[in-house]
Amino acid sequence: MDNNQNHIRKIALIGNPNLGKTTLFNSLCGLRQKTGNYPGVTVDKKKGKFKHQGKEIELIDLPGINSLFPKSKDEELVVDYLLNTSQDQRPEKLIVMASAINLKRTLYLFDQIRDLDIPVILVINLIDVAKKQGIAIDINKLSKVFGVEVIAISAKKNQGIDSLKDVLTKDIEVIKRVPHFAEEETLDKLGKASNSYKKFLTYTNGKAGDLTAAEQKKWRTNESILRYKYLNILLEDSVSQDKSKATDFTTKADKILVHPIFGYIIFGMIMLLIFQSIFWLASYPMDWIDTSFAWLSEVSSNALPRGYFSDLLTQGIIPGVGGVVIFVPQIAILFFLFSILEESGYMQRIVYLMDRFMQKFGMSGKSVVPMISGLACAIPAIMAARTIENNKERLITILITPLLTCSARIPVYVVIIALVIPDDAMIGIFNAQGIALMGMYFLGVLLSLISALVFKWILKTDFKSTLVIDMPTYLMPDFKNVFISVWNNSKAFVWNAGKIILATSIILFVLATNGGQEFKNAEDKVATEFSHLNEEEQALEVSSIQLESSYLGTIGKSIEPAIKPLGYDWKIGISLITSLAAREVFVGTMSTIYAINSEEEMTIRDRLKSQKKADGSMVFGFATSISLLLFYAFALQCFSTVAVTYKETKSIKWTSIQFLYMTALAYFSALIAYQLLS
Amino acid sequence: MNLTELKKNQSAIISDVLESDVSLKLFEFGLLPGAKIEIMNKAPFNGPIYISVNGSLISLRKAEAETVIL
Repeated sequence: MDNNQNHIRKIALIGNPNLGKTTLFNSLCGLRQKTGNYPGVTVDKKKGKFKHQGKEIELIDLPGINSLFPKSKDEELVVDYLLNTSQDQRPEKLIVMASAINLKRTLYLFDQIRDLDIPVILVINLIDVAKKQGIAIDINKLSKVFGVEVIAISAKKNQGIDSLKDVLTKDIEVIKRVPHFAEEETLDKLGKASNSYKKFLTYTNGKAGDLTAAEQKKWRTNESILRYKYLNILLEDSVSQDKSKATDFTTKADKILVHPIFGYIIFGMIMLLIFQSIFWLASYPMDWIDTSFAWLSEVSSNALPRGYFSDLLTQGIIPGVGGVVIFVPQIAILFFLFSILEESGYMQRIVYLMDRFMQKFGMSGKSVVPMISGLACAIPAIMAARTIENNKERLITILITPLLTCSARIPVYVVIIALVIPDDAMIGIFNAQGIALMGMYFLGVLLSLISALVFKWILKTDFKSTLVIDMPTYLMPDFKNVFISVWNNSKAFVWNAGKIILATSIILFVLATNGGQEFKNAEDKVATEFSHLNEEEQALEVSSIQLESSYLGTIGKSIEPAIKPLGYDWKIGISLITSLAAREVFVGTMSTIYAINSEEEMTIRDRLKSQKKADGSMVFGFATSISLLLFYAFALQCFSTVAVTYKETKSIKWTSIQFLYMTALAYFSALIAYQLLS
Repeated sequence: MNLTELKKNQSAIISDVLESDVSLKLFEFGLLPGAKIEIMNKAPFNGPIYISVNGSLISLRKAEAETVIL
């Protein structure tokens, strides 16, 4: 069929959520993968590549689904991909994954897909765990009955992977089977079709035929009853379990982990552990990165010949890029902990524990997952809201997620908090700066819940909200998966934020070092008006006049009237403008702006601390610092978030509402704080 | 009686699932008449109910559990 050796075989991986699809994907592709999970990339599928027997295979990892009747956005995407992809984009074959420890449930989806008459391979994962629990599965029998290749694997232990690879490169012949998804009468009604199940799907979706809503439902209901009947009979004589071997760790663990009291205490402790890791664990590599970049600036400024390019590098690009690299430890730690929660199966317990509470705020237990991911970054978090079936709950979750303290805010907070609170200040046994940072997190959570309440009250809905979820068996996290997730997310972060920051640093530097007539005349002006000063003081005066009259200074000054009531000068104004693209630009901008004015290389913090107003008081006084903290806590300064909200809601209205309500919240809370405190 | 009346660690056989928005999803998750169901846990303040059916662990809200007749 295929003589071309260079032809890439496209294979898609599908199955219920939490079965270990990602583990299989990672063990096949390793690091040769990329996620289209960030804005600007239209596909949301994870793709990877590997070679087997000289044949190139492209593997697509689809989000987990429970059945071919989509209920949530992510399920819809997958079903749409399976049914409506154009011929050339369609995968050549499908790997459908089922779980050996929950075979009946997970074979349900396979049974549906089998009826689509496309080339499929059934992979039964967790065969090692099943063996331990005394479950024996007659693989040959399943293969014979289903008419497809069935391969038992343990993705984590790399068992069965080679036989899977062998099958992947073979051509598969599709054998039609006698339908059991509908009764005779229904099949007659469907009439002749090249594939009666596809026709059945379009009929029950109301896309074809003339079924009433009640009939559609009746057909679907019958389908699930008939399929389970079929699977019950099939599994009766192909699966046996030695009950004496059954060790049910999950049931035992859940006696404590979802206990009405201890369950919540443990959840609280896990959250606390996450915060501790962000605050203290990450602070060591961050300090190191901060000083390294200051050192790098100094070394390169000494090594390079003086000139415009050298200035651009040492005062524009290096501090700017340093501002991104500094978050990497935090991002990595957060994604490390999240993927452990996800991999172990604990994330679903959080959904269970928090559902009642979240419903009070118009959201679902499933909203907790995006909200926790929001502590790392709002972009994957907003995308994670796809699993929420109810539109209103999903919309509220999307709208409020950017209020949670994402890691891009951390450096801004860390720098400003350090300006207000001395390093060695303690509250009891705790570091006062750490407490203040934690306070900022609580503020984010509090405001997100209050906003959710407001949206719950405003938004009306006809859809009933439901929650039916799997509670996956607890499994030891696969560390290969964890590390790949950390690697991919950190890389995506550095790359995406890095591009914006690098570009803004260069633009900023150019705008700050060029200007109109006044800028050009600065040296002459100082020479005539400040002739009483010595040479060094004159040079300082020149650079200060130049910054103020540069294009950048002009922009800053033009918005000064609007931000003066918040306690900001025009230099902070420039940072506000540049951090519209991304918050983390703030630190980079501040250091670029102030570096232009100074000869010494200092860390960002010392540089800000040394800034004085005309009257000799600190620019970053208490009131201004608090006002800035509030502004950065609430303002939606992240183009990528705006883009992803639009992509996910497909609504200019809600994208604008999100931007506007957050900006208003930021402006007025900063205004009130400054006016009260100054 | 319905599923919400069952206490923790008790089990029963499903006799019917009432017609509702969620009934199809319940079927797909294997909550079919004749299936044996056991309560694993109940979240506080009328929160979701955690059950075991056909060896699968599932949780669902109280409103949904009310449609499952035993």
